[in-house]
Amino acid sequence: MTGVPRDFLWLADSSVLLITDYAVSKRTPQGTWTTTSFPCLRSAQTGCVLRDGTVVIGGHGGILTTQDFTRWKIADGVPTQAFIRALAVDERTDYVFAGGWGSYNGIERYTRPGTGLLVSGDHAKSFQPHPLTDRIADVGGRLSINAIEVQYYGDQQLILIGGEGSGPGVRRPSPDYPFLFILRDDRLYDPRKLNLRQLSSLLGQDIITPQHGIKVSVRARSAFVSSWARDIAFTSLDAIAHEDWLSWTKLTAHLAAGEQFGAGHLRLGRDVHGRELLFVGGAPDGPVARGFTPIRAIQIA
Amino acid sequence: MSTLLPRRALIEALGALLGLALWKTGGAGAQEQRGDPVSMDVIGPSLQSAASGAQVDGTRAFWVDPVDSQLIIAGTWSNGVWVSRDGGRHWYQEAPATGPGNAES
Repeated sequence: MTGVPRDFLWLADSSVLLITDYAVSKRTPQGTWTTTSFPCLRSAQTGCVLRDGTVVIGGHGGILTTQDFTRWKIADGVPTQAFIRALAVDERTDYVFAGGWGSYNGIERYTRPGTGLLVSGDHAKSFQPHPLTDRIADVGGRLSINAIEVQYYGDQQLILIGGEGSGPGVRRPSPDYPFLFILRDDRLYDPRKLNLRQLSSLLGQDIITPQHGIKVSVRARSAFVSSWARDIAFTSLDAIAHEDWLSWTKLTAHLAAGEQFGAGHLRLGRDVHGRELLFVGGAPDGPVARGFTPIRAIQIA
Repeated sequence: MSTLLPRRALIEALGALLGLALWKTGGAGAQEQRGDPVSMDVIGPSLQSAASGAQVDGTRAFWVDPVDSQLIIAGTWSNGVWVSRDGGRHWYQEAPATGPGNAES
């Protein structure tokens, strides 16, 4: 692997793809790794897989697609300076949703506005701004997106979009800088009902963890959000489905005293009895915190 | 490798059916359960302690096999990729790190 691991994808042939800053590495079910570089992007951050096996990779410089890891295509419509941090596919329609920061230079780390929500209806060949993207925004413009989750609850399509609130170095929750939006069947959830003041208070900041900071469990009827190196909270999926006022609960309130972890990626899995588990990856940043980063498996249904 | 193709498709189809079934059977109950906290138990391992003292730094990204969640693959900040085949009780390094990443967390 070259660089820091950013994301893992499950490919159609049951192999696993690791996305790092400067390459992708494919792992066979037997545990053999093959690393391949990619063109065009200055670094990679995330990806998704379409039903036809197309692999979509996003990062600093745009979005790439490939089917064989030898021929790559750059998607149209994504600004070349964009820092794509989130990709998600609607598994019923193959529509691809993308978002990220407007730019990235490693020094400023963060600029406003972000890319807003981008959408592709042609297998990630091209992207356009989502029709509601100008409302998925803060006072600085379109949201700098870190994570997108697309899920169906019954027949209702839910898209949860998380990003930067006040931004690194500030991180004071403010209604001027919302950090979570929800679309229900292409209708924007009333931002007031998201109760972001409570959420940011529970999380300790107004930032959603990049790549996999949002996970929806239909079985647990809950939506979970992770805030980088801080905490995790969840709310009722039924409340979201009805566009109710959301009430958030801090996940660590359910942990034993002294139990701690840094909130990173969220993943769903199942134990041997078929019970649904929420896996929580520790990702505290900073040299002190890096010494403890357990992965936790939490039974949720 | 082609024999593996139906595995994922089958699992995804079953998952979709299961999700739909739960939704349908829970339709009325959904109203009653709205806002209730879910039951949670910590049953998972610590990558650090499971590594038997090896210096394993933070997990930046990881993957859990949705079919058999005993298989977990964890990508660490600077110590390569670690794999557990028993739900996280034991880990081994499967791929080393070969270079620094960019500065972004």
